Amino acid sequence: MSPLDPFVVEVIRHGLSAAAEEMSLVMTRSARSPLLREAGDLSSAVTDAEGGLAGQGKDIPIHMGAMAYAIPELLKLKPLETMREGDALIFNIGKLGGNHLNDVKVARPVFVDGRVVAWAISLAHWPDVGGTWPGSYLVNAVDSFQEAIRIPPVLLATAEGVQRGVMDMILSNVRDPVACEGDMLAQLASTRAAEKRIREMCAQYGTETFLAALKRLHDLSEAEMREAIRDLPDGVYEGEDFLDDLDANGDPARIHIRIEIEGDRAVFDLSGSCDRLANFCNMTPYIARSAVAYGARCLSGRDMQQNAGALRPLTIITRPGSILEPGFDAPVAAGNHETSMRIVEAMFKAMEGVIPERLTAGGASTSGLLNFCEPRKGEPWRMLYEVHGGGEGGRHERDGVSATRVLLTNTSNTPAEMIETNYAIRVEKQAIRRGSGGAGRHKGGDGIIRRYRVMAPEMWLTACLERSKNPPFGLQGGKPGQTFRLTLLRDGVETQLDGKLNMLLRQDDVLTLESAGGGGFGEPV
Amino acid sequence: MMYEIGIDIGGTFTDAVCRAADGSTRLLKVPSTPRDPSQAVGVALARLLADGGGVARFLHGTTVATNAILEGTAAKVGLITTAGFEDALEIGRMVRAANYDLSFGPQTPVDVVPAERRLGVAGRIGPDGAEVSALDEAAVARAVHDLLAQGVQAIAISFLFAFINPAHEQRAREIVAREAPGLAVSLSSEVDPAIREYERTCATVFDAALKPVMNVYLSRIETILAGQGVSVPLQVMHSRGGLLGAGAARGRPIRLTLSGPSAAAIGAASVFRDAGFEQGVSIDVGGTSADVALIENGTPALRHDGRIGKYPVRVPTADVLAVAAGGGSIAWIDAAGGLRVGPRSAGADPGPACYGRGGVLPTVLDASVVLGLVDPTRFANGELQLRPDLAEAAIRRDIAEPLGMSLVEAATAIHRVINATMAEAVRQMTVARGIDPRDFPLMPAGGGGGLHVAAIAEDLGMTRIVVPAAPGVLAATGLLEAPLEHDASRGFFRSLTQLPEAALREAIAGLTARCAAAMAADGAEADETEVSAAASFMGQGHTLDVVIPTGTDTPGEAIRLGFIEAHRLAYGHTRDAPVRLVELRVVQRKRSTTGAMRWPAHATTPDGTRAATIYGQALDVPILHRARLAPGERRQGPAIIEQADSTTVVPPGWAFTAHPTHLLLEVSP
Repeated sequence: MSPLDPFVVEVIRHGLSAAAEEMSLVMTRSARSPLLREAGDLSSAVTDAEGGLAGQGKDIPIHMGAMAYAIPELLKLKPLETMREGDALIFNIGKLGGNHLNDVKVARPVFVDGRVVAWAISLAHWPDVGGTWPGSYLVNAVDSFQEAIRIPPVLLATAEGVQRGVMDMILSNVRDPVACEGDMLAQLASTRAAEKRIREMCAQYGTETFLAALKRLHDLSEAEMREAIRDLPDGVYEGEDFLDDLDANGDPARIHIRIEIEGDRAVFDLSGSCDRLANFCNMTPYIARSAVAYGARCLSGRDMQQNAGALRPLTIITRPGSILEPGFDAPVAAGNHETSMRIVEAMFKAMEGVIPERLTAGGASTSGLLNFCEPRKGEPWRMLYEVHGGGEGGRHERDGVSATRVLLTNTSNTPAEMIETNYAIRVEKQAIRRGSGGAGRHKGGDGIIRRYRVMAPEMWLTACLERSKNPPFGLQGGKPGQTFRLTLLRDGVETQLDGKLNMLLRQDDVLTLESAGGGGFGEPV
Repeated sequence: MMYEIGIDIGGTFTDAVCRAADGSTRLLKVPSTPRDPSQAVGVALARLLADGGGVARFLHGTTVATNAILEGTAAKVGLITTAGFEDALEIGRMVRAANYDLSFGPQTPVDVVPAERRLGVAGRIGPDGAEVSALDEAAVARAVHDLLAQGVQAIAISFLFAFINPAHEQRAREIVAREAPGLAVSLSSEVDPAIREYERTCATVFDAALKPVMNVYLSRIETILAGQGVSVPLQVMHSRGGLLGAGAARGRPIRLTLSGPSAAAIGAASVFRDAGFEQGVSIDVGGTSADVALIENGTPALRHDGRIGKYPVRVPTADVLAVAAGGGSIAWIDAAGGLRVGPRSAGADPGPACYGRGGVLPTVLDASVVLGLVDPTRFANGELQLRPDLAEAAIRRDIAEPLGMSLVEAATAIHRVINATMAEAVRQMTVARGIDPRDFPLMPAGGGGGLHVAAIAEDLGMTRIVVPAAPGVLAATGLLEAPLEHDASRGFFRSLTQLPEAALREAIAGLTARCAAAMAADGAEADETEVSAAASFMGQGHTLDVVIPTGTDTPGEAIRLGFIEAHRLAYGHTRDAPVRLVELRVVQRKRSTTGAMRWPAHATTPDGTRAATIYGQALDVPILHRARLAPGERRQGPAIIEQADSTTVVPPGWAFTAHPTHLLLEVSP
């Protein structure tokens, strides 16, 4: 049987996704943090020996960037020859394809007959990684050191077992060491599950065939992506979008993209974006690349495999010193899921005149994050990391969907009954925010309203909402949706709060979040 | 002669199995009548009773409830909910099914109960079950009249934390009964008493919406039975894989959803038992999908988080994994030149190219015809003459030529890909759960199971295959084997340390009494009572099931110790930490007492040989008719074994032995 038998390639393709999905299953079943087991804010991936992404579970799209670049960057610091069977490395710094410090990766080189044939990577969003503010989202962070513990690639486990010193070092820097230890062990276990599957595949088909199939899968995906690009008309297209934040000059922080399509090649130049910001909305260039790859896949309107091969035809340029390549010491907690959305929507706007039928108008494209942390004396802090969807933009064939997550994020909400059972919070209301979607031939979907009452003496709050100043845009003459609104009712006085903030809440404070409606599509009739 | 008759309605065929008192069993397939599914039941019944005879038991499996949800044809329903949470049903969990496909639509049943039919009333229960504020009874009455004015045929009531304290829901039901006597009502605390308001409300709304529909449907079946002189009560299959009387089915119709796969799994468990196996895996291969079920301890594994389409419906159901891989799965070349099979299917209409009904795309069945595995003149008992020329043309044009392969190589590759997809599903049901499939026998079912089963077994290192006597009607067979079964549950979501033993004993007694009352209503008394709990460590999300010894004085302690041990078995480690009781469940059963089935022994195919390709090898394969295999005689593959409702391929390296209830294939190098 030739190693490139299409049957074997297809089977290994299935096997790789199954291995990644099995990893995620292990995580949701054995992790301790609610964020991981209820909301599923985690991803799993298998790469080839060089780190080229080969198989991914049905996870969070934005994590794909971290997965695609983590190992190639790691290997620059620690060459493959230094790896030993049984090793598992832990890291979260931006330099290793990082997205933000909360997303901690555990990576395991998979050995067969004494050589590395693949990597298994488990990424999990830890609810807290230390730093200045509980939850590790410090809005006005000046640098990365204020945000959280920075973990370079170190051995978390070897063939001898867990490296207790490393683990203790990490655990003594986070606010809930008990849950965190459980999560770390779950990550280790999930990479072992993938290792087992990969070894089985190598045993069944032969290691050489397995390796050849990985190469072939990358080639197939590259061809698919080239085909998708060829589908787009040649030309140069430009689009821009703005964060709610201001840049150093006091102007709205700008994300600009210049897309150059020529045959089956595409260049995405983001150099026109603003300079590094003095807050947590910067992002690493890896995430800029994964946002572009996500956007390209959406624009293609095709069902494609997402792997290293699919990235090859995309040339993605960021400018050093800019918000998208701010340097290793820049704060990046929010940029990961906020600024990355601006890139995708700038791409959509760039293509408005060319392929409007494939696009969706602007939506509640933000994590919509509220993080409530309740300090408890002598016990771990209790943290509710709750994300809020809103309206989706209208499309050429239908109205936008109300109350949904859009684009790069797809984690679920926490039911009111779970919140009230586990946290000192009462959910007083959860409703559709009627009329918040923008008008259009197809109107934007509506956002939601959720009202929280604080039932503890003190609660540390982080809010991270984009689209609270700059509304979701309409397309083809559709009207914008309404912006996010966050209001605090304290002692009978209602105050409108900033979309991004850290503050202390008190007993009986009532916090109301109204999420953005989507933009309309087409002139209203 | 008195008969037991099981009739199961599927998408294309309505299957009937009829067992006489002496065990002799007949099977019958009649075309389904989707516009009024009861018609096909009438036709099948009339044919089975054409020569006279009475009916001792009549058992029915139906997809009417599931289809009413999927097709949006359930009754017009209104929802009364806690004020401020009217939109919880529309908001759902906010996730979308696809990450990259921008064309997704609403993911929640917003059209089933639009905003104007979701009305909130003041009154709140807290997470500890205590009343936070009183129920606004006048508001409930106003809501009922508002909904009546909108023409609803049923009302669902779902209040926050009703699974812990149902007092407000029960009071609201009294008010509905007073204001709108006779109107169908469903309470979330009874339909799905478990935490998470969206999922509980979904199940409750569908239960209410199904009540008028299922009442009409079950009455139609009862009329047909009466018309044929059948006087025994109608019993229907519910999602757990048990039977219940038509009265109980009318009261909780959501229980009838997801029952089809359960019936097949029950049938598989029964055949495995007859063959001497307490555990096994079955794979039921139809036109568009393959359903994989896991049998342990003689019964199908259950799950409590079922889905219908995109909606969560938390009724207990057989844990069946459906993958889009069937005889109609279409083979295609992707943009990058890779061979793919499925998930798209040619379905029954137009169907595979070889049906000759206008389908031109190559499918798995077309590949089976090209490989000589299926006799084109005897497909579906000869009811459909297949066209090998069309199968060949489709595969040649769409697969062989683009990939530069021969026709047979292309057909072999299609089979390998689909076999791998099916094997992957079996792997997910076993390996991914820490179960080693090599210890398990594999059972093919459906028209296509036997064509793929050996390849799947080999892929997973499984060495035994059990082929049922009638693989094509396994669900109808399951109806005859299923017990009469009632269950009741109650949600807690609380640490065991907060639950006194006396309170737990009382809760178990209450649930047991509810089951017993339901049994009595079906004129039966249980011969089996099973008490169990879903539990987790505090702070853990995933629950494990723990069996509680019946009659114990200390159920709380039994749950705690049982859970700590179950955790060790499931995850390899455990700890002595506080345990949370999530749910208590009681199930009562009365087993069917009839004996084994004897299938008719008449052959319609001459034995001979046929040129066929197995695993890429061109062979002259003996063709044997199932009915002519002498019981106990062991033969060596290769062989193709044909019978009215299916074909089984025995590759070289396998031996097979016929038994009265099944055919056993074993690896025999």
